[in-house]
Amino acid sequence: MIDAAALGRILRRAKIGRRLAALLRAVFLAGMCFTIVYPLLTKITMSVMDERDVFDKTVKTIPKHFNFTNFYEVWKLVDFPAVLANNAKLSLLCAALQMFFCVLVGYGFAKFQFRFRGPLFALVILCMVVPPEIIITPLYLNFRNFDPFGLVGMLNGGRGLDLLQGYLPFVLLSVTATAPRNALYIFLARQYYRGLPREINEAAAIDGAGPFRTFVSLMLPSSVPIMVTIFLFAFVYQWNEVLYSSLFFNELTTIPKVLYNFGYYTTYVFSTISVNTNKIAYVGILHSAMTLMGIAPLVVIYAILQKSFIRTIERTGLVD
Amino acid sequence: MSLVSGSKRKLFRRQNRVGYLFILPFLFGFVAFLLVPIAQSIVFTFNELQIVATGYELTPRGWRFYERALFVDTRFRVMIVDSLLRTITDVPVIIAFSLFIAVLLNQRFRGRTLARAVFFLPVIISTGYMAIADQGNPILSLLQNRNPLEAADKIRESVTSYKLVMALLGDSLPLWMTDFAVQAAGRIGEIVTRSGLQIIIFLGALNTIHPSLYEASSMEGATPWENFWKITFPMVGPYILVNVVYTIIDSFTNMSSQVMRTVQGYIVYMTDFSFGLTLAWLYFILLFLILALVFFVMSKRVFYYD
Repeated sequence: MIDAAALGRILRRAKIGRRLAALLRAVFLAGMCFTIVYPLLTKITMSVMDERDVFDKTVKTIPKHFNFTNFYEVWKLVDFPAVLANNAKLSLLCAALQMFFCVLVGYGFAKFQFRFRGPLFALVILCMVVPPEIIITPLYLNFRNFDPFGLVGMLNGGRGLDLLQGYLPFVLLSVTATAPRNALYIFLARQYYRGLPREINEAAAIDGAGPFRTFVSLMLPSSVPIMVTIFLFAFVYQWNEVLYSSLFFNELTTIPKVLYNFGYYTTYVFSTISVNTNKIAYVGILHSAMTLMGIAPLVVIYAILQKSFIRTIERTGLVD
Repeated sequence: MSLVSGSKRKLFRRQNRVGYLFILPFLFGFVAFLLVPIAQSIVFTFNELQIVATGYELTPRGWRFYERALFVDTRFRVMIVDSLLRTITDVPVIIAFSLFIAVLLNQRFRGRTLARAVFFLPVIISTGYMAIADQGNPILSLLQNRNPLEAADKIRESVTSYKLVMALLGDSLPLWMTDFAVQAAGRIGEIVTRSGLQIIIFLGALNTIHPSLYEASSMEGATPWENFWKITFPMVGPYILVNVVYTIIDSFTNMSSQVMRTVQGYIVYMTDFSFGLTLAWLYFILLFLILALVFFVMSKRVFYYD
């Protein structure tokens, strides 16, 4: 006879509980991953289809005629390397600036007790509440005739500067942490720094370090996880953003803009190289291929960067 | 001794004013870029806007648009109540779900990098990329609607899952709870998409917890369950606040919300510009009040290390 305690010991030794938990976790995560990937599935199958399959009613998920050259066709057709470079440049610029300045502002809100801190933080929340669609028109007019506090007009004979068709509107909004979603990043950084023990700041102050030196040499190195999170969010947002980049920098061709106007775009290109322009099915296939090509770099960047989430605390040894 | 602490305190008081320097970029940006657009959109709610050759003309209308929105318009009040109810039911589900997923993804197992990469996809999708992409694809809907039996399949599926849940929990739980669970399960795709950002935020937060905390408590004989409620949960508290605030705002101002679509219809097509903005601002004021309540209730309960 085996009594309950012995049975428990045997089970524990066999790690059955742990294995069961691992199995449940695997099943659950696999199901969730499927739910996430499912909407992409149509695009994945379509991107490797031949034109004939689109009109074939018996083809549902697996194409009869695989055609892997679609990706290469898109690559040539939209001059993908150039478009990709545009996207990368703008996203990298915005993400790097927003990461630094949102962390800076968030630190200010977290670690100092100045007057009107509460009401000023309410302004940050207000920026989260008001969606870009509400303020986009006045903002556009502002950048078309840029004249902050009438200073430019004073030097320029009453006229402001036209900042459109350049990176400057993006730089200005990023440097001042007022680009879309930046309030969320400020909030995130504030929560992070409030979680750090105050003694670090006090010790640094007693050792004679000024507040900016404390921030740069003590706080920034410890905040890699939060900075990576903010960088990723800002990068992805800018990568897929259409509204601001269409209005402020229409000349820059980016991936989401090409996808948005894919029909027009390809019809135009096809007509210039004298291909039959009535290839609507083919356009759909190429579109699916390009959608995937637009997402792929983001997933790769995330897979690389997510490793730096881990063990930052142990490396810096700040929280003990 | 008292002298030291006195001068120390003075040092900190002086340092506190440095805080303004840290938040100066934001203050400057707010005044230079956002204040005028925001103020202008509020001014428009008190005026009727007409496009003329030289720009636009404003005719003062006082509180008329507000009266119309609150007392005349029959749809607005219903939509507000709807989105309020939707937010109240969605936010707890999304927060619990995303914390749960983050804890799972933070464990060590084979294929973790792949699973994490897949769970990053909703962040991409939630920026509207897929919606934008789908709009530009002429042929996608053809393929997606290929199988006419698919709709029937979906209905059968949902009935089966309802029966399953009823069989599992039917007698033990009140009906509204079962209903709630079934509905949440039926919208799992939507919930996953809307939890993308929150999962990544929690994942980052979990990695700020020092492992020595877990080691010490396990040494004292704490179970993983106790560890979660005594260490993980309080330590991610500050980020629960961020995620609750973000989720509420997202569920209110996301373009899939009925009010925002109505507002967009009025504003973008300029059919009733000022009225559209009035609806938007009434909606934002309500949202702001809810957020103030959330801050008031949660700030006292959130644990900060300092």
